[in-house]
Amino acid sequence: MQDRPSAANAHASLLALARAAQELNHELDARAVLRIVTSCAAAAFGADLVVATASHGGSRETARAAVGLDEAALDALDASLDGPSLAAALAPVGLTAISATVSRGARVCGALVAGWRDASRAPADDDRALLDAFASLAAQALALARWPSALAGLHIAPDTLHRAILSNYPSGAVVVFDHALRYTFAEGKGLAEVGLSRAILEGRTIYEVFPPATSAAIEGDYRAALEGRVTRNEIAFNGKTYLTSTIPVRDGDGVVLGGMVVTHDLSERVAAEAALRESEERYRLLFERANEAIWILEAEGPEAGTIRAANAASARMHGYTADELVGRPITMLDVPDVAADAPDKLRRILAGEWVDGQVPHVRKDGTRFPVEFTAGLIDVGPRRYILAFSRDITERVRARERADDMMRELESFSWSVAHDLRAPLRSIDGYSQALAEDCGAALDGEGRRFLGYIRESTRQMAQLIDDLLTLSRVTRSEVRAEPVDLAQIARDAAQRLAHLNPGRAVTLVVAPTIPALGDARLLRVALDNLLGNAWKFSAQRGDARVEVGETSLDGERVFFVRDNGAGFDMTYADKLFGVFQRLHSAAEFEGTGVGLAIVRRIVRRHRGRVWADGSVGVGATFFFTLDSEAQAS
Amino acid sequence: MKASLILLVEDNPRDAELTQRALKKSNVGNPIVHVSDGAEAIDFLFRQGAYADRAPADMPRLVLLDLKLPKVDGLDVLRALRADDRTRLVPVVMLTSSDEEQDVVRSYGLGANSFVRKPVDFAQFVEATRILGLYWLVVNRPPPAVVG
Repeated sequence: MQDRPSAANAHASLLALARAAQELNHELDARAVLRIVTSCAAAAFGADLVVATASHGGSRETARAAVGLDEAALDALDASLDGPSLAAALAPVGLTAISATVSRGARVCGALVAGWRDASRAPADDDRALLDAFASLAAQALALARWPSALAGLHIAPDTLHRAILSNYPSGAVVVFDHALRYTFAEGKGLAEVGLSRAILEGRTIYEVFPPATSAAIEGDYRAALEGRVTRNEIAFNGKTYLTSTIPVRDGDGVVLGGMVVTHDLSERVAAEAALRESEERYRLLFERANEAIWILEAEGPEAGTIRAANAASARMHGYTADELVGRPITMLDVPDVAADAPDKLRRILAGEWVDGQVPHVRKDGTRFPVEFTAGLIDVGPRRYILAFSRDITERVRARERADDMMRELESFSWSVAHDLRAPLRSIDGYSQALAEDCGAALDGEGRRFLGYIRESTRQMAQLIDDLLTLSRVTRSEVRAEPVDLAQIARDAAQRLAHLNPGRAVTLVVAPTIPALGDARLLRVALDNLLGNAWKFSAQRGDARVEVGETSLDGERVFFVRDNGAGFDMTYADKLFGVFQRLHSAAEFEGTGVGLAIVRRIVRRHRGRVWADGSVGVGATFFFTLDSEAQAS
Repeated sequence: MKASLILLVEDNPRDAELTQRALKKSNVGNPIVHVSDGAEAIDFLFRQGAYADRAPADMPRLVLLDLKLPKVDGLDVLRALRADDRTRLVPVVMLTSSDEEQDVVRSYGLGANSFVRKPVDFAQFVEATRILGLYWLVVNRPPPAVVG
């Protein structure tokens, strides 16, 4: 049995312990702290047993000081129990025990238990107060102590799953280090890229792995992590760019167990960013240098219609600088009261439609000019804007006006031609006839022959005027797309020709029906001309035969008019369709040389092609197509 | 009862003469009054100006109307004719050089009864005149109001 220690003695022991702990600082490890505490406490209390336990970030340390007890029985005790439980568990061993809590702040991190054999003495209040003081001191010392076992745990048991996951860490690496700046874990595909490996790193300190310059460079970040701070760096190495994050590794209680460096290869992203910058620069130049005005406008909200971006062309076109335009409403460029359909256009744009239009705009100096625009909605991130392109169409409007003027002039010219050019011809013909009738007796044979020539020339000229008028009309008139039957049109034309040439016997071969889409009036003119030609050029054959039909060429419908007449030399095939181009003399075959030009113009106005095939003495075939899309649908 | 009148509105004296010759050759025996512009035609039809003294019974049985006329053109004459109750039903045949579609459409739109393009070939012209005279003066029954 031992004497009860005086409180003063115990206090002196504690102070000595505290000073020792202070001096040892964190050179002292947690187990040593507990050993010192237990032996000091055992001495101070005269206890038979003192047990100290403490845990820190998943690792637990225990120490005990025992006098004359069964060590095997003590080993069997569960040291993970809290203080009161442990004290209670000592009863079967024959001890009466008290316990105190070792706390760190508000958190219990361990326990201190002192026990006496039953007979020796019963614990008193003094004992409890003293044990609390020891526990408090132990807590202070533990706060400064090293916990190597916790970091060793990281190193010793790198969970195989974690290692497997991290060994697949793409384009980078993860390393873990302890308080001695020793690598305890290293994994990741990026290690090899920088000439490192798990074998080189694990178990070695940074000073052992790297040359002094490198280790000095990284040491600061490593220590910062151990103090709970995060550092990030971008490091260029071997042509690549890495982002390294040096971060503390904490346990569930927030205690720093060590540090971790996560390295990520940014090269791709850096390259992508560079490419993005280059691309942005390209588009900026495209935007700036475009000849067309480009606008980005606010689409919605109270600032709808505000110009957010305008390029140099926009500014130039309106006599402003780009800075003067940005932030202002686009409507300041409108001519007041003209854009009556603007709300409708805006509604359609906001509904997602791309809208075209023409509006007059006002320059800074007040002058007006016509603008053609295309505008639609675009999404930039979560926001919607109106993207608009516009161009100054002053020149085009002028050209159109000129063209309209010319067309009007041409129309009035044609009208005059129709009326005024024919009237004198009628007079020539009428009076020649009157002369022949009234004064025929006074004329000799030659005189009558000359009169005949006058009338013949008059007729030719009348025909020429009619043909030219037709040609001009074909150019001007609108082309309708209506269902037509080319076979019926051909039969009608043949009937007219038969009526005009009663002496001719021509066999017309035509399918019962040839449905097509086109302008009935114009196609009638075209077939009149083609059949008229066929009739004319087969005049010298007794067995004249004209065929109208349809064939297919590369899937396209091709219509044709074929005759077995005089034909033509393919050498001159390209001259067939020109105005006034004739391959036969007027003596051979009558004609103005305008008919096929009319045909070509009609076919072209139907977006089709016309061509001919023939040989002298055998016949000719004229092929034509009409707007293939229209025919197909 | 004397034969009903034909009013020929034609500014070109050659054309007028040839038309009259053609009518004669086609055995159309009706008297022909020739006026050489639109204003004169209107004066005649509405018995005004130089024609204020015209007998009401001399309302033409047929008007041969040229399109292109000095002062008041053919279409205006036609419009005036159709706007007045006295002349609303008088048969009007457009007799002209042109067969521009717009002219044909406008003429019929204003109430022309017929549209004939004068052929250059005089023989054809005579034939056209013959058929025209036969139809409008013999075959066709004129509207009652204008029977002179």
